[in-house]
Amino acid sequence: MKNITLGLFLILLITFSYFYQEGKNSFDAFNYPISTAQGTTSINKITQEHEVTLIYFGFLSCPEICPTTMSTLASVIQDLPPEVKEKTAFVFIDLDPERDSLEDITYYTNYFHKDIIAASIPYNDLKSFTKKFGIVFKKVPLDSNLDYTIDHSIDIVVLDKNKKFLDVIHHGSPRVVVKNRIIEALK
Amino acid sequence: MKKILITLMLTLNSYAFSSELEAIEISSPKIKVMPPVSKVTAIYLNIKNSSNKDIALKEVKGSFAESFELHDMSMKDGVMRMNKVDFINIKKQSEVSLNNHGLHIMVFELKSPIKDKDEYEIELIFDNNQTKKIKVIGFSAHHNHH
Repeated sequence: MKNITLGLFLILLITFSYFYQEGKNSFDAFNYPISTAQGTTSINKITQEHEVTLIYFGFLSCPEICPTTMSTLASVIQDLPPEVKEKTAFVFIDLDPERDSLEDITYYTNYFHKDIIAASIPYNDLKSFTKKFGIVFKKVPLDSNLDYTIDHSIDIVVLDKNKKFLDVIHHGSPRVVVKNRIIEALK
Repeated sequence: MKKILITLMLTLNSYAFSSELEAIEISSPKIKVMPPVSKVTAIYLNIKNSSNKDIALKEVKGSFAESFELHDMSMKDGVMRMNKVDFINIKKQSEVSLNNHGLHIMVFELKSPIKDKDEYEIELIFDNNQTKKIKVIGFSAHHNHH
């Protein structure tokens, strides 16, 4: 009798874990409501409204990579022919909502270019969200004035209108390369 | 005679000391301009050690921010990492570059935004307790076209 109960319990446990994992895997990042200064939107909405969408994940206490990437994107936006520019979306998603407010990240992206969309997602859902885009990040405690820093993937994710992953642009790619990748994607 | 000897010793000592100080040369000192909402920034510079002894930079001080630390950056598998280091070693007769893809000086809690081309004073403290005061110049990696 005891063995049957134990067996049943184990089955229940395994079934539960399976569905729990499945539940986690079925996180819908594309329709997840993301907050921007213009209100709530979603990656789905942004990709549908453009031919190509570039997404970069960063945070404000990042001294080098993030400002450099933003600077590159700003130059690219500047250089794109208008008919290409209007079909392209540039999104910055913040990895540090505990320290970076929506107001601050909006100010930050606007500093580089007003056409970069700054978006914020609650900390609890960031892991599931970034996973869907193949982006990893990790909070790393620092024995420093800054309590922690964030190690993160620094590639730019490129999606098409149908949310299909088109490309990944590596950090350090010259602006002309980024620009050409966008123009190519629109062909 | 004693007086002359003492004076000579003191002179020689101070000469030796100052020549060791001269052995540390700093070039291209700059501090990055960041969007005002970002309270952190980085200082880049080159340290040349012309002496016959290894030295290490152990501390940086300045009054325009709450803290200054030594950090290193490395990239692995597309992920950028940053970590604090206690010393930056500069071997004898060699040069170390603090730049945007490796070792650098991290600046936290800026009291006010860094301005392009403005000068800011910092003090570099080495492990032999020598110090060097230098001016870092604001540089903008981004040019605003509005």
